[in-house]
Amino acid sequence: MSSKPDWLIEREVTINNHTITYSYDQEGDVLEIIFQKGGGLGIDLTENIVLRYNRDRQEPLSLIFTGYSRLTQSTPFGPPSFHLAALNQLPPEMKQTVWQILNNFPVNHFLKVSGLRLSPSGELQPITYLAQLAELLPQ
Amino acid sequence: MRRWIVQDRHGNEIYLTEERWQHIQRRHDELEGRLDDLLDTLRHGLRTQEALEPQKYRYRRAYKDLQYGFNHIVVVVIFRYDETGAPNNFAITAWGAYIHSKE
Repeated sequence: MSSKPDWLIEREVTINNHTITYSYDQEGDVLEIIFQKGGGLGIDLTENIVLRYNRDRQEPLSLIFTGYSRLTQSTPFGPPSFHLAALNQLPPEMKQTVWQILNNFPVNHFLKVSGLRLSPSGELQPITYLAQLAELLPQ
Repeated sequence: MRRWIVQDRHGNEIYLTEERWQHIQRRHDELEGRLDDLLDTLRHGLRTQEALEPQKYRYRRAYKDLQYGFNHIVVVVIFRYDETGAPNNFAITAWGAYIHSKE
């Protein structure tokens, strides 16, 4: 099967000399940003954001956004942020690997991570939002 | 177009088209050749409804994979109705996932 499905928009972009594939499923409203081809495992960063990475090389493979349109719907305060709640449930070694990946290119070009403290003495919570990048917007 | 039709544990009919299966294998190498496991995930897996999009469900089933390190297969399914009002539920994507057990 060689023809491209009509529900799929795929585009390659080059960022910092790195070729990245943007794959948007219009029917399912699922965006996948692919950094490299290969097999790996997916970690739920939030309910709608998955990071796939290669465990042995500790390199990112892709980010999957289910419900992409809603994830990027602007709010009166700017782009919506989401709690990286699932990270705390990972084994320490895996959590460290995921943090490393999140804080480095290419993932940090798309996902912006910060800390949220609801009160001065409250616990710092990791949150993230998807950068609004023109090259990723569906046509 | 070829499609596989299964029934989940709640009695819902769900299909996977060959086009989507080819796309899943092309993008997620860890599931290459694991069609039977993907279909079994739909048949027997637990499901959770997505809060942002209630018409989407994630099905998951435990599968140990030593090569890639995932321990579950996750399949995303959209529940819809066609123009006649009949259910039109289909799998859109799937991947190998690591889900940490608290046990």
